[in-house]
Amino acid sequence: MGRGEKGEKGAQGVMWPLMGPGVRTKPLRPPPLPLKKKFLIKSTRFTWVTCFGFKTANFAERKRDMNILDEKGELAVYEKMPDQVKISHKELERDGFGRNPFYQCLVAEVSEDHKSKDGHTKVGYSLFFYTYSTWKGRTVYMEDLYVMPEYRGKGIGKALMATVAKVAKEQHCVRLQFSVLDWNKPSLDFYLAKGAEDLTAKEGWHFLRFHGIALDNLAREAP
Amino acid sequence: MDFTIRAATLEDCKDISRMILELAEYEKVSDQVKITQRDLEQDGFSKNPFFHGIIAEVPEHLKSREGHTKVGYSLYFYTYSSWKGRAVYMEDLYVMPEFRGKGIGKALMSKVSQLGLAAGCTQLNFTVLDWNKSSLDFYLKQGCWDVTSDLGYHCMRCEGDALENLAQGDL
Repeated sequence: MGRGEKGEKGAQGVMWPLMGPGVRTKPLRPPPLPLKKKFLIKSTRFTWVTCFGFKTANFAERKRDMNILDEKGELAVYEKMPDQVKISHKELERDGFGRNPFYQCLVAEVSEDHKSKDGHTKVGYSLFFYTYSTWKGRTVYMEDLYVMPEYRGKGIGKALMATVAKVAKEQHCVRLQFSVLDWNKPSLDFYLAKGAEDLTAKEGWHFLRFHGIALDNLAREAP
Repeated sequence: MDFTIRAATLEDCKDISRMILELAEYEKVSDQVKITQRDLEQDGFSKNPFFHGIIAEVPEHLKSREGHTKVGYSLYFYTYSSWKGRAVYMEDLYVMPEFRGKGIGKALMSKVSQLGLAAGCTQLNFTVLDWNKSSLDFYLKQGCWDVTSDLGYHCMRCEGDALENLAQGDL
């Protein structure tokens, strides 16, 4: 244990790993997209950026793409929890673009002439990371999937999710997992229509969480 | 009871594999376990592991009826909350039935939370089946929060043909 990664030496000289897995992937070519003849946006150009693609990008580019933080604010408003967004641009940058990233991120971008009312060209994103099932093996967890309201219904959400699935398959993952709020019927219907299973409804799985003082108290009792 | 909690090593994969099967039997789904000891070795002990493990071990004179000294484990990995930042997810927590009620499960979970905090995590997340009342009670007693009941988050999954179709963009 602890081979190759930074760790902390605990009792008995054992290395306790501290950092996330950060599985490396190559930047992907975008999937071909159908032309949308019905809409004003005639064609949509996507750029797909992975964490490691940023290794060669300049710092200004990293800062610019950090407006996914603003989009997260919009997602939090949609999920009716705007006061819950606590992390900063700096943390996002440190945790997603360092040597050992905790997540990977895809950004959907339109051309300048199709920018949003507020002048954004980055109009959607998906944030995901690798997890593990002790029954089935490697899995991917899609933490966020978001498209700005004025760009919905044009296949961007589907394309983002499809690319996450493609990355998952390339890394030999057998599952793509995520969560949805039970009142969010349009999203639930969207996912169920794509063949996703609702494991809470079907099998009774509940998410549980320790945070704040409860987490501190629990950690204090560790041997 | 005298026990130690330590980081799992490659050599522990045989016992981890055994206990994964025991846990799956407890959850009534042992036919669903597809990964092997070799998968565990590859995915948990390479340069970029998908998970980390900790083992609960008892001294030789306290070994189980079948002669095992590795009597519990927890598998966890680092995740990310786009609202709160770094988090740790506890995929499995298991103690062999004859060693329960002695503080081993609590010690394993505490160790995971300690490691998580040391890595800058602000959450420890995991899932429990709603019929598993004894586990639910254990966790709620420790101060955790049922996010599904309180906020309505549902666990969703795509696998098999659904994942294949999704990856091909065939929606």
